[in-house]
Amino acid sequence: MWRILRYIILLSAAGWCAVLPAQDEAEPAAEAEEQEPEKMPLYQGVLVEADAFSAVMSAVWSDRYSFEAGVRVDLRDKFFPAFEMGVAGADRTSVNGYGFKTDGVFFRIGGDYNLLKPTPPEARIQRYFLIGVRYAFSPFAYDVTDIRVDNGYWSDDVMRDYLGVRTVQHWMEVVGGLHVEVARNLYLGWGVRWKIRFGSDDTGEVSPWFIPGIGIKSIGNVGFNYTVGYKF
Amino acid sequence: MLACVLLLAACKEDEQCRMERYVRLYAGFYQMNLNAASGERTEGRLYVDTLSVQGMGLDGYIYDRVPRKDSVQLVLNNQADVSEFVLTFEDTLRQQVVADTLSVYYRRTESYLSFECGCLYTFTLDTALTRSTRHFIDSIVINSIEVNTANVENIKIYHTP
Repeated sequence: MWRILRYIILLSAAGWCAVLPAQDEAEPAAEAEEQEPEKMPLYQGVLVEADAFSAVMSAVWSDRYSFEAGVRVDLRDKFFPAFEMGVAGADRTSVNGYGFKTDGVFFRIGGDYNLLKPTPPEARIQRYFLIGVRYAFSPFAYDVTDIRVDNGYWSDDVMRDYLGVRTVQHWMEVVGGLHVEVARNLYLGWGVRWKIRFGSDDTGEVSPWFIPGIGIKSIGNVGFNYTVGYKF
Repeated sequence: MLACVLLLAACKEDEQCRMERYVRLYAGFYQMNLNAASGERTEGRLYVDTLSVQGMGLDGYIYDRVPRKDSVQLVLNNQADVSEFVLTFEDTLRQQVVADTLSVYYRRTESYLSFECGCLYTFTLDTALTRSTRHFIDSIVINSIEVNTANVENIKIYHTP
């Protein structure tokens, strides 16, 4: 656990160290751009990223996993239409002996806006501080097993299994984070996600404990990413 | 950022069930008192001297010779559409013991609460009656048909002294 955390901390530090010199070096270039405004071509490339944080945490969690990746289209270094997808699942036995199992996919579509001034193409290091929104959904099936129904006084408890319950969960996310070019076309970034689920569970509905893309439903409203990406 | 990482890594779901799961049929004992002056009958709470309650055909007691009871909480059988109880009323002063059978008919609803809490049954009362015996109980009135986690008196059991 501590080894993994140390790894994350080192990666984080690497990201910050890359930002600080980037600011110093990029400023003269930005000033030059102000003096000679030049229309930047609309298409500036595609950034393909994979999330290292969820991969690391999947190794830490014993009962669930999540892997995700995404692409962002760079439009004039300002607007970034984004598409992300991932796989996630859980296989959990509660302290009561209840079981929950699922494997599913999730998709997110939306866009980001770069709060930083675009750096000219000749600048050595690119950086983006992005904020954006996503619409996300996950179609998946799940099993809830070994639910004990107490019939206390009258008879032995009855066991219930709810198998293959299908659902499509929808939510939106407000995202924000920093992405820095640490080597030519190689990017590191971190981001925070605030997840707002649409709708609520009906009374008596066999609702999922874990939602791919959200995580554990009761605590999964904030997410974190540490991404490694390449810009084509 | 480090704080975020540590916070998220430390997040552990709470598996404690914090929802109310106690479902009982609440029954109150009443007697009709005659006002000699006005001739009117008024409803009053009745304290049973000594009360025992057990499920029909079962050995165990829900209440076993409990003194001065004016109400009982009865667990309904969630694997049947009827629950029958034997209520034994004991008057220690007069040394009288009488028993009545209370039959409660209902519809059952199974509700899943959550992964932490599992599921429970709630009931909608259809009929409550004393079958063939009327030693102590005169009549039964359904006050609230929904038997769920709400603490509401569902039936009134009347006795005439």
